[in-house]
Amino acid sequence: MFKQLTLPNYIFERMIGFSLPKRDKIIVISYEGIHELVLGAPVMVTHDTLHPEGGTLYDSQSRILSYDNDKFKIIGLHGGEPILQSNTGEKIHLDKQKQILRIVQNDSKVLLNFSYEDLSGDWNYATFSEDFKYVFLAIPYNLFIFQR
Amino acid sequence: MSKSRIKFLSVLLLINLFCLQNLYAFSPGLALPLSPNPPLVMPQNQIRAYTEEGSQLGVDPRLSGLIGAPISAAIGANYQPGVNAGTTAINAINNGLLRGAVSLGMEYATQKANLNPLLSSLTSRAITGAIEGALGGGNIFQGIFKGFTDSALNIARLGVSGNDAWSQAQYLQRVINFSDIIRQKGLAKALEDTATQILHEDSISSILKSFQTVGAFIQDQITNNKTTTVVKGGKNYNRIQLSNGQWIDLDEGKLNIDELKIGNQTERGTFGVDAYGNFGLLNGYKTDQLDATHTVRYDFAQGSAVNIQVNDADNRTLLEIAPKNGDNAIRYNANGELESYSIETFQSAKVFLEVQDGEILNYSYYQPLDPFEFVLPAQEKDGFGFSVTKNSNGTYTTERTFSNTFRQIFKAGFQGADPFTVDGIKKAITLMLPGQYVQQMNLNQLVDTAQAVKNRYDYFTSGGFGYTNNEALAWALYDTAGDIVGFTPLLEGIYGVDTQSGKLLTGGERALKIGVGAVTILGNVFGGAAILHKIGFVPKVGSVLQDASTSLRTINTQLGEVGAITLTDANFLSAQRTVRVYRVEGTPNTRLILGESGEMVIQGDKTLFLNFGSRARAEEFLAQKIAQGMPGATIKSFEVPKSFLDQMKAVAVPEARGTLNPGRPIIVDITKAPNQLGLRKEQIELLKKNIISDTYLEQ
Repeated sequence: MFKQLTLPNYIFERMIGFSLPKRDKIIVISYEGIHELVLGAPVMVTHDTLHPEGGTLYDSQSRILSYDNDKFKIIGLHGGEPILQSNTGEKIHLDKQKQILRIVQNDSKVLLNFSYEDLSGDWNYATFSEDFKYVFLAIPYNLFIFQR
Repeated sequence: MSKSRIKFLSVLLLINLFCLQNLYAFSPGLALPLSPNPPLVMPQNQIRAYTEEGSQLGVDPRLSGLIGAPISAAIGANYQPGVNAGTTAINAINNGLLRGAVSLGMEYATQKANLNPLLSSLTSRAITGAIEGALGGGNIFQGIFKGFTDSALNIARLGVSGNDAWSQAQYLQRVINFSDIIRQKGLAKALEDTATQILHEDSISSILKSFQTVGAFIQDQITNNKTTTVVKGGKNYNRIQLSNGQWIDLDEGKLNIDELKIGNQTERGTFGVDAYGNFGLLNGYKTDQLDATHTVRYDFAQGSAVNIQVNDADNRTLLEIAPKNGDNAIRYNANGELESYSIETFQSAKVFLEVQDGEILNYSYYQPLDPFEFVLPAQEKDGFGFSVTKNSNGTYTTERTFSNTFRQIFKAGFQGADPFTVDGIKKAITLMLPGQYVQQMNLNQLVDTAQAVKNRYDYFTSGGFGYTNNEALAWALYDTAGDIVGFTPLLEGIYGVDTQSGKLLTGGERALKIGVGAVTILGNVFGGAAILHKIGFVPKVGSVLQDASTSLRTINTQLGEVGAITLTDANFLSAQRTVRVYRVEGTPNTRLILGESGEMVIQGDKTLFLNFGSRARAEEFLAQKIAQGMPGATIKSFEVPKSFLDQMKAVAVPEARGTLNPGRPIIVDITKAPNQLGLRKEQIELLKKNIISDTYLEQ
């Protein structure tokens, strides 16, 4: 089963994209700057407002952010490659019209059924983390994180 | 009531290029330089040149002569030859205008004339008003001017501007009353000396068959008491009968001419002779046959025309030209063009046009819905119309008069039919306009008219107007009815906005709209126009309404009252019309604050996301942010001119391309709501200059 992590009540106004976690850390790019989220309880956020929209650190063509001596593959406004199936066969189903995220096991058991409100409609992604420990649902105005 | 369909007039109002510069002054972002003292009239040789260019391009030379526009410029950036646009446009203009102003107005209004490719050049000269005298195929204004100068002792007959009152006064000082000439020379000699000016050749020939001179004939009439006595107003006059029913009436003492009946003309009053030997009327009146079915009457005072009436075969006055308010005479320029005057029509619809030195001071239109309105009590009179009035600061203010039908739709919607369909629009137009308008429309025009109503309805409900759906529908129907009548294009041109889309018009587009509107209005009043000869006068609309935002806020919506009610003109105020801009923010992302001076201040220069016009969306956002626990979440809003939004939209790019276009606004959330924009640093600076004072709200 998955449970939603509680995020700070404000991180960004409008997101451009996010990275998959590395060492439980993800990066969010917004029009305000670069935001570093350390996943845990609670989620800790550090804001770097020197680089709105990722500044020169973000290459929207390759969708790679070079930041903090590391490179992050970004999913969001400029596209992305979400991981839609876990190593155990769990699948992500994102119904953009009904605005429902479902994670379904091989045996059709629903592990997560999450309704959300998308006030943008421009783009949305749901993905597993590379270690399949987390599921991320991202839309321009919101980021939702679920942990096993 | 018999309705004599009168082939008559059209007005084509062209503003001159310099006038357009004034128009540009109210269109932010347009870059024509301003001329502080614009000359009013294009030199005739330039008009001729344009005519030739127009002819080469296939535009009817009568049209291009009227318009006087640099048609060659049409081959410039705004015109793409080789894609049939030119041919289409030229044919549309030629065929449309020559076919009649009514149908042109209709086609223009419904965007079927495909005029756009030529707009910016074809009409970049400016409004001209030109009432074409197609009464019976003649040119009434040239005819009227000739009739005036032939008979009046006015300096205009010497080719000097009739506006030159000082010269006229000097000229009159050297005019000798004909009675004095008679006293000096005797009646016979005085008449003989002016016989070629007074009498037609057939009369002189007839006289010379029996007498050696005209003087001898006159002397014979007097000496031998051959004159007959006629009584006019209780006074006796002596009539010298000429051939073909013509006569000269002398006063009782035979010391003065009282009246002449020569050909179809009658002249009566005080006659004189100027320093150049010209005989004419100083004071009095003249009547003449303008064509087979129309007569004209001129009233003169001190050699100037003080009133001109055109009447139909039943002696009903169709139109009246008079001095503009405050003047004592109708003013012509040296070219015979009316310059300062007023024109009033007396057909089924009432049109009043007042012009000073070529500029429109007042232009009003009223269409009663009942042809017998004149016998109705005041509370039962119903009609619609508009007026445009020039303010003392050079701007214009308009008012519109609404019919009861409009008021009912405004309050309760249009019952019983879908006005976006052919059947629905037929019913609606029939209720809003006299029946003949719908009868003139073919199926395609009805389809296009229904679409125009839909376009306007969509626009008026798109936010920023504050109309209810019923109000938006009423306005959409009303403006579309105005297309047919002509005043909507006219007002769109004056205000510089297309009411079907909210698009700001270029100077050329405005000029053409004004021209088409003016043509259509008078064309409708006189039952259609068979335009076009070069005419008479050159009014221009100088500047455009500036006090629009004030007008918008003071809009009078007392639509429940009985009788004609006027509203200020909200639908045409796009250039100055405001749109409320919303932003939901909380403590962490505060960008808008109230400054120390009480004015709104924008903090920071990062991309600023704004919602132009949708209160409902702002409330949705607020609800979400509150649910998510955003501290201090609130809706902040302020107003900007809608033109600012239009400017932003014009250069905005989709969000995904924003990174590659860091200096341009981005469009977001396009599937959720229109006009959701992210403004960059550059636009934020522009926004700061466009925020309307005292409109900031937090709620």
